[in-house]
Parts: sequence; structure tokens; C-alpha cells
Amino acid sequence: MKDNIILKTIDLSKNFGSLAALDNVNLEFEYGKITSIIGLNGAGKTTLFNVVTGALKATKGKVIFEGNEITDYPPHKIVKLGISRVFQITNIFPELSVYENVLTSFQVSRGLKLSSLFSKLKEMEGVTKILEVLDLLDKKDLLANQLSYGEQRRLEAAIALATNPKLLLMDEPTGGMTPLESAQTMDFVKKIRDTLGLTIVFIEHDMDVVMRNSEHVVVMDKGRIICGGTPQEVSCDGKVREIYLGVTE
Amino acid sequence: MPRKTHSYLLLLAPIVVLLVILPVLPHFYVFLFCTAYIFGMFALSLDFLMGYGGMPNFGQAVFFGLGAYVVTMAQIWWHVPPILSVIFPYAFVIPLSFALARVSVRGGGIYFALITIIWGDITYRTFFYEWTLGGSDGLRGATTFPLREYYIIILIATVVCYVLIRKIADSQFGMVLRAIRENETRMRFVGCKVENYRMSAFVISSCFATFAGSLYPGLYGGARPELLHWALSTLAVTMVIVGGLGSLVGALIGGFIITFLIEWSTSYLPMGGGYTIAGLILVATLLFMPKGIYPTIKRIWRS
Amino acid sequence: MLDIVLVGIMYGLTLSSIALGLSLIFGVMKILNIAHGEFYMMGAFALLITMELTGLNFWLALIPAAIIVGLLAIIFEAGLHPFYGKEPLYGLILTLGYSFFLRDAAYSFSRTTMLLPVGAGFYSIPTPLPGGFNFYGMVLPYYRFAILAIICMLYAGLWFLVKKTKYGMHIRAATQNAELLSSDGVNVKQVNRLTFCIGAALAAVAGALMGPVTTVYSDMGHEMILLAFIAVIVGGLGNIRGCLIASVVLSEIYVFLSLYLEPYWSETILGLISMVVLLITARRR
Repeated sequence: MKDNIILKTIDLSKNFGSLAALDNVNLEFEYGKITSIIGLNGAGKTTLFNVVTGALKATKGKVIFEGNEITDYPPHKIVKLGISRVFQITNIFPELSVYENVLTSFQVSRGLKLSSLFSKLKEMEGVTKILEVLDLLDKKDLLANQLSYGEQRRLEAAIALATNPKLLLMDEPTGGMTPLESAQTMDFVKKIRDTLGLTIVFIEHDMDVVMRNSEHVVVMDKGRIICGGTPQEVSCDGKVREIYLGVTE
Repeated sequence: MPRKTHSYLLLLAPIVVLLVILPVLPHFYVFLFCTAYIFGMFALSLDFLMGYGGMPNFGQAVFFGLGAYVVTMAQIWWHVPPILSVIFPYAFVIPLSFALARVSVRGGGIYFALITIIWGDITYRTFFYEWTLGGSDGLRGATTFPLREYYIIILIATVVCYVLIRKIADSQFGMVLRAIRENETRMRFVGCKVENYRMSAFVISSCFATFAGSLYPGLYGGARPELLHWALSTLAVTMVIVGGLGSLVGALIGGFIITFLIEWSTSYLPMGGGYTIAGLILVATLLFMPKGIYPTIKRIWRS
Repeated sequence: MLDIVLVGIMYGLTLSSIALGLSLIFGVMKILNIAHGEFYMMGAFALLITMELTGLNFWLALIPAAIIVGLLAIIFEAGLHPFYGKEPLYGLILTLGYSFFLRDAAYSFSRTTMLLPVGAGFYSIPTPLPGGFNFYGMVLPYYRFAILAIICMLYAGLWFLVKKTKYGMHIRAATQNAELLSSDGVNVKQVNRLTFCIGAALAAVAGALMGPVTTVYSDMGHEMILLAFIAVIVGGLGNIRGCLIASVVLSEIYVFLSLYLEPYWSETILGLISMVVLLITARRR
């Protein structure tokens, strides 16, 4: 067991009837790295996230997190162990304030005690810090549905961060954004990794974003891993070019 | 002015009014007010469960009715002094509501509502058909208190009840409940054991319903199977909606309005008539004032 | 034994008339109509009033009864408009309000009206088809077969409507994806209204048909609604065939239970079975 691997999948497969959404996926993610997963629609990227986070049960294979097998654990247990997820569609609590959105996540992931029945909402340092990192502190009393789209995406990330994860899975963080917004978002992503010391894996379609921001790239197609490596290596790989550019060599 | 102090002041004013008018009220109205308080508390327990927990429990009357029944039983069968008898129901209700919560909460949504109706129905018919439990006439013989003194007791009880529920609703626990209501899936992905929170809310609200029911015999002298029927639960749902779902104060307001309405209509309309009016008010509220009375008034007051 | 099975099927089909309308309404409009049992009851009353006012015989009076209730249903459906697509709880509670109002108003009406022969709120209708088959010493009433026949005809009509007509296609589409349907230019409002009215009319006919069997009273629909809910949910919301099967099975179980046990136990056991079935169905979905 290597010391610097935070997450590993072994022969991970997921079938929906006769469709193999994941087909013997073997992956390793290193601590502290920013990795992106790319592939055409239907390649199995989101399914991979779903299986890793416990939303779906694997048909075959294992998921190993920090040396422990977590393959059939329920979602809340996996969160407690340190994997957190940012969703593709904004998945926030609309009628709660920004602060409450993050506070809820913060407290629930740490477990509420019986005394919480009567205790008031407290100012919590951890929550404030997260809001600060994501530049939402000045908006903390607004209702979540009063935020702009970009701010809601950041709130989305804040909710995930509040669970104190070691590994953050992000599903298309720049979905629907202009190049400028995408760049700003990825700056936040890097800031999160640098200040909080996380490992980050994100699914992306925007090649620019991928090339500029990943330290490692994994390419998937039809449920399988096609290749993996630095952005340079991957963009030169023949198979990848064939899939993405239709170029045959 | 911070929200807390503001809302407590708002609470104080009506209490003072309700106390001051006591000497002037004719006997019949004192009785009616007391009934309204009791049903108001019942509605309050349901408002917490529905408005914060997001669970429409059509079997809530079971806990209310059991409160009344066990208090009566304690007094007439086991000769427990009235003051102590109000403690007895919880010994039955808490384990029962744990068991029922386990069974009902899993399903969620429609399944939950239906399952609560079913066990509510079973409980009602058990008490209705079983003569040792009083049968269709119910149990009689509980001590009734001198009316005007009891009025003050019930009023205090209502205030205490409201303050407690308000505190719980505003607490971290309440916030988690609200979040679950907003986005259950996300809560699971944030490490929340949603079922546990829902079950806790269920048990807590059942205790408050029992509390309300336990005050009933002191007023009416006993308990009847109708107190367990899901029709009573639906009446409470009406009170909650009319007053304003989730507003807590609204439940008390709704309790008053519906109680008075039914009393008025049974006196002045030929046959039954109570539910006709209740139905009309419910429909009218949903169509013209969907948020309920209290939130609507608050909004008008603010602008 | 056979007559028991027959009774079970009869009750099952009657129950399904309520449950089907409920299922259809839920499938298309995503609203659980608590007041649906009241359409059943109103059908019976409408029949009585029609017979009283026009002197039509039972069979002919069925038609205006169904039409009256179907038309009244339009008003109720209009009240539901603000709640489409919102949290289902509010729609449910609105129909609860309807149910309160209708049941109690019917009760007051039935106790005080001059329109109908004086009764204590219960009106009996002499059986429109007296006599029965003699089957190994048992009497199988003709009328029950008539009920089965009429309801089967109605279902045939409904099947034709849903499978073969354009409107039926709209219903099936709306069950899947109402939004998409409206963006295709289909007038979803009309589909909703029509669905609601057909469901109501169906229940009304069933209520009228059962009038002679159970007597007509204000609570007659209310007593069936709980079982109808269970049939709808167990059969699958919006799933017509499942609903039908569930209704018949549940009714048969109830009829058999009531044969051997006192009413308290047969109802309680049915309730417990229903709870178990609901829990299992909930797990699977």
C-alpha cells in the first residue's frame, strides 16, 4: 500500500442491466493532487463518482480510501470518512441563509448532540473560514436563492467543504460558465486545495480548463479508462485524439 | 430589536389580554377558550412535525387521544391523584411513537401519510370496539377542575408549550430539520442520517400532542374514542394550514379559529355543519391566502 | 363460496372505479384527490335526486347522474390550478377541504332535505333487477352481474379512450412528462380537466350502481377512500392495470376476512396487511 495514494479503485464495475457503465476501472489518486476526469457523455464519469460516494452500489470490484475498503458503505458513512462531493446541478438549501447552508453541513457531518435540541445557532469559526475562502462572507445572511449563479456554485462547494473532507469530488465545476467565470472558479479550486490541503478530483468537459488546471488527467470512454497522465501526455495520446478529435493515426 | 425579544413581546400582549378578560367571560366562553387552547397545542405539535419535519402525520390524534385516555385511566383505575396522572401517558406514548416512527418514517411522503392513517384507524377502532377501554362512549370519571382556575393552568401550559417548541424549532436541531425539508438528498451527501432526525422530530411532536391531550380530561371529565380518530388529525391539519404552516403561532391562531367556528356552527346550523365550514375555510385559505393567516398578516404589517 | 368470490369481485371493481380515477388523476396531475370518494357518494345522491325529480327509471337515471357529477368536478378541478407542480401536500390538503365540505354538506342535506323521501340520512333504493340465478342452492342476484357488466363496459370504454384516441395518448404522455407535453403545444389544462371529470364520473357511476346494495348515505364514499388509496399506491401511482389488480385483490381479502372474523378484526388485519404491503412497495421504489 503506497503512502501517497488517497483513493484507489480496483476492477470497479457497475452494470445497469446489460449496460456496463463502469468496466473494470482501476485508478489511483495521489494526496494533494488536482486530477481531472474527462470523457464523452456516457463515458461513466458521473457513475464513477456515484459509486465512490456510495450513491450507487458497485456490481463488482473495490473502492479503497486511505487504505480502508469502503465499497458498500452508505453515503453518510463515506462522508464521515472524508470524501465530499460537489454536484453538477446546484444542490443547495434555497430557503436557508448562506450561513445556515454551510452551518448545517458543518454540524451534521460532525454529529449533533442531544443538547442541540435547545442550543441556538452559533458563530462557528470553521464556517466563517470556509465562507472566507470562497469569498461569500459578506453575503452570509442572504437567502441562498438570492445569490447569483456563480455564487450559488461557490456555496455548493462550501457545503461540501464544511464536512471537512480530505478528498473533494467536483462534477463539472465550470458547467455553464463563461471563460472568465471558469477561470475564476478554477482559481477558487486551487485556493481551496492550497489553503485547506485537500485532494481534488473533478469531471470536466472544457478542455481549456482541464489543460490549464490539472496536474493529472484521466480519460474515460464507455466505462473504461483509456489513458492517464499529465495534460501534455494525454493530449498527445493517439487513442484520446481519436475519440475527441476523430483523428486516426 | 432582536427577533427573539420582539417575538416574546408579541406573545406577552395576547396573554395579558386573555388573562384580563377572564373575570368578565361568561362560563360557556371560558370553557370554549380552554378547549381552544388544548386544540391549539395539539395543532402546535402537528405544525412542528409538518412545518419543520415535513411529515404530515394523520395519526397524530392517536397521541392526543392516548394522553386523554391514560390520564383518565390513571385516575379511575389506579386511583392516581390528578396532578400526577398527567405524567402517566408518556410511559405509553414514547415507546409507541418510537415504534410507529420506525415503521412509518422509512417510506416517506405519501407512504408515510397513508401508514399513519392506517395505524390511526386501527387505534381508533380498538378503543371504539373494546368495552374495557370504554367502548364507543369512552371513559368517564376523571376529576374536572374548577373552570376558571383551570383556565389559568391551561393558559400557562399553552405558553410553556409554545416557548418550548419555539426553542426547539430555532435550535440547531430545528435548522437541520429545515435543511432536510429543503434538500433531503444533499443532506444525505453531507453525512446526515435523515431517518434519525425525522424519527426524533416525530417522537418530540408526539410528546407535545400527548401533553395537549392530557389536559383534556380535566376539562371534559374523561376521554372518547373520537379523540383518536384521524378526522381529528385532519382537523388539526386544517388549523395548521389556516394559521400558517411552519409559523407555530399560526397553529395557535388556527386552533382558536377552527374551535370557535365549529362551536358556532353546531349551535347555529341545523345538522352538523362544523366540517362544512371548516372545509370552506380550508379551501378559501389555500386559494386566497396560501401561506396562512399569521404569515400573511406579518407580511402586510411589514409593508 | 362462489357468491362470496362474486361479492369480492364486485366490491373490487367498485373500489377500482374509485381507485382508477384516483390513479389517473394522480398520474396526470400529480395530486392525490382525497375527495374522490365524495364523487362516488355524489353519484348516488345525484341518481336519487334525478329519479325523484324526473321520474326516470334507475338505469336511465345513471346517465344524468354521471354527467352532473362530471360537470361539478370541473369547479373542483379549477380550485386545484394554483397547486399543480407545487409540493403535493398543498393539493392534498385542498382536496381534504373539499372532502370535509362535501361530506358534511351531504350529511346536512340528507338529514334535512325535502327533496327526497324522509329518511334518517340513509336512503334505500329497491334493487333495479330483482331475483337471481339459482346456482347449487345459492342465489346469485342478477343485479350484481349487472353491476359487473356495466363497470366492465365502462372500463372497455376507458381502455379504448386511453389506448386508441388522441386524448388517451395525451394522458399517457402527461403521466410521463407533463412539461414536455405542454411545450409541444398540447393544451395540458384541458387534458387535466378532462381527466379529472372522467375520473369523477367513473366514481359517480360506481356510487350510483352501489346505491341499491349499500343504501345511499353521506359517508359512503369516505368509507371506501382509504382502501382506494392503498390500492392506488400498491398498484403503482398512475399504473392502471396494477390499480385494478390491487383493488380486486384487496377487496377479495377483505370479503374473505369478514366471512370468518368480526368486523373489527377483519378491518384491522386488512389494515396491517396494507401497512406491510405499503412498506414493501416503498422499499422497492
